[in-house]
Amino acid sequence: MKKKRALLFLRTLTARAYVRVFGQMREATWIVASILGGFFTMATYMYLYRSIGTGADFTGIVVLGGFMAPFFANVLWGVAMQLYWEKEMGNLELMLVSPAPLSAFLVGLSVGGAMHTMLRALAVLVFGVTVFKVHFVTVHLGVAVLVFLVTLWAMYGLGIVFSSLFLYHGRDAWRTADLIMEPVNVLSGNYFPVRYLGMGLASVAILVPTTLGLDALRQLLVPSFGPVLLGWRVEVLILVGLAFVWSIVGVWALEAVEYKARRDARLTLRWQ
Amino acid sequence: MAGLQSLRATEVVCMDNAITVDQVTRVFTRRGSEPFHALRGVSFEVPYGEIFGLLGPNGAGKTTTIRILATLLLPTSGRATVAGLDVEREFAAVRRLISLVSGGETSGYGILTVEEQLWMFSQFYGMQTREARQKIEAYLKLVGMWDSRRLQMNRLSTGMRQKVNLVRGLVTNPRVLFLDEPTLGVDVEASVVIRHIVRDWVAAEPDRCVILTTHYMAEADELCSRVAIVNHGLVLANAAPSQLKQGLDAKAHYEITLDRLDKTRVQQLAARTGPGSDLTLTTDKVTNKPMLIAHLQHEGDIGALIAALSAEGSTLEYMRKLEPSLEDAFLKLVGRTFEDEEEASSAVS
Repeated sequence: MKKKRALLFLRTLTARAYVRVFGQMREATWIVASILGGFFTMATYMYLYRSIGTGADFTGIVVLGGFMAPFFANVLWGVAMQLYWEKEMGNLELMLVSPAPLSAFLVGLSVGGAMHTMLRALAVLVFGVTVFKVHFVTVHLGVAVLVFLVTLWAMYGLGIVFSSLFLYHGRDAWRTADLIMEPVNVLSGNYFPVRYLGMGLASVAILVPTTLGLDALRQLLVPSFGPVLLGWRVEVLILVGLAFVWSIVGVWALEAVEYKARRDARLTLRWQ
Repeated sequence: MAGLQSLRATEVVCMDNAITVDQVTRVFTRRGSEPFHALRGVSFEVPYGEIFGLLGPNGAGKTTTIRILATLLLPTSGRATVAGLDVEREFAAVRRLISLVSGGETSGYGILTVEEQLWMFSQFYGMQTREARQKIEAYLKLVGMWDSRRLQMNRLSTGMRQKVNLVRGLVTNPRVLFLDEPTLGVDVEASVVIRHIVRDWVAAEPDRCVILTTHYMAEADELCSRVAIVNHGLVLANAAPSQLKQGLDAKAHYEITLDRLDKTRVQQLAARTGPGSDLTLTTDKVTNKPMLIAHLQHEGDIGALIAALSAEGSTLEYMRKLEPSLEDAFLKLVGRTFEDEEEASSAVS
């Protein structure tokens, strides 16, 4: 029985990821806009830091920030908002009527979303290295990839928690996502060292996985850069903890919101 | 699919009834407004092999009943089962056995092709891809959409989309298929195809059942072996459409077009036809010829009426027996026509 449930989970995950990966590839203009958007945001900070003469280290952290930023945007708009959008499209009730758990849909969305976002993230990285001649130290490249994957896990776990909350909030979800986006960009230190926030604010910011993931990646790939938050090993341990916590809370929140949907009849209907 | 079938074998308790609904109520509460009693103690049973219709105006409680049975809503009180499984406590097992198709549904993703969309939904039921593709091909051919399989969903007409929705509901081989207004807004050709397929599908296997909600009385009359007339959260009647219509009155009703008839002779004709006969003379709107509307106490009285007309020198040009409709049954049970009831409900809400 466990094997059958696991198969159902995997098939649901694959099918939902397929929509993200292959379906959205059909929107060529979206891909071009997404890549160019990433490039120009990064370029703005590049020229800013170069104009005030901060040195090559700063340009390195900007490229890594530009690499990670679209993933959080995807977590927020592509995972957290998704159940709400599925409700609006009339898909949520079909997802609930099927035997697949809601978590399988959201993990599928996360996997598909991460793969899709990787295109923009890699484009930023390639532009950074080729256009702006940014140099990274690749001695710890394998560890950096692992740190990146753990960060993604924790981020998308947080996205699943948000998806339940946003579904519960209904029409306010859009505004809530908008409200979250920019403060998280600041707290994550996407385009500056998060240490400059001060330890008080930074200790709050570590609840957002991007903060620690980005700081750890910067330590591993731009080791000459000084103002770090914590040692990267400590940061990875905290990230693993966050990944587990957000995943467990996410699954619990989905079950809770589904029960509420069935009890109150206010979450699966488009007009509510 | 093999996995799904074995799940059925091990988990499904064999019961005579596909559906049982026992004194189910559902109350919707909203802050600042009075509680709304959508269902007020609804009870019915549906055996396998049946297409069971829930008939009623908007807000009658049809969709609420379906949503409870499809595990999307909890009943406020009472108990409902699907294939012997409690929809409240055993909802995960129920979901393996059911499928839901709603009218006007825009589900799925416009960016996917028809066959991608159907494959995606089949995966949500754990089907193996090869079996899913075989079934998708078979059903798309059945609805005449195999050639459109590579069209993106956002390019389909309403009728085509609804055919795809029906295929989605059938591909996973449910035991109980819920159809909530499946032909709403759909053109005549697509409606005929949908009705035809639903009838064949339920007849193909003995352990299948369809629960249909519809506005269209003719659709319920054509498809359903039994119909529950629902209004204001109550089941007012539950019987075969023919029984519901027969129960209206024992009189026989006819429409007779004649070449000529003197209107002063109508009363005498009624007296010669038989006791309790009621005749009204009007004009056929198409031919402009005299038309007699006859309400006869007994069906056999028609012979006496034809003989009397013949004696009057009238030639019978056209005759039609007027069968009572489900609309008449609704009128008798509710006291208002379907449309009037809907208008009254929307005025109240």
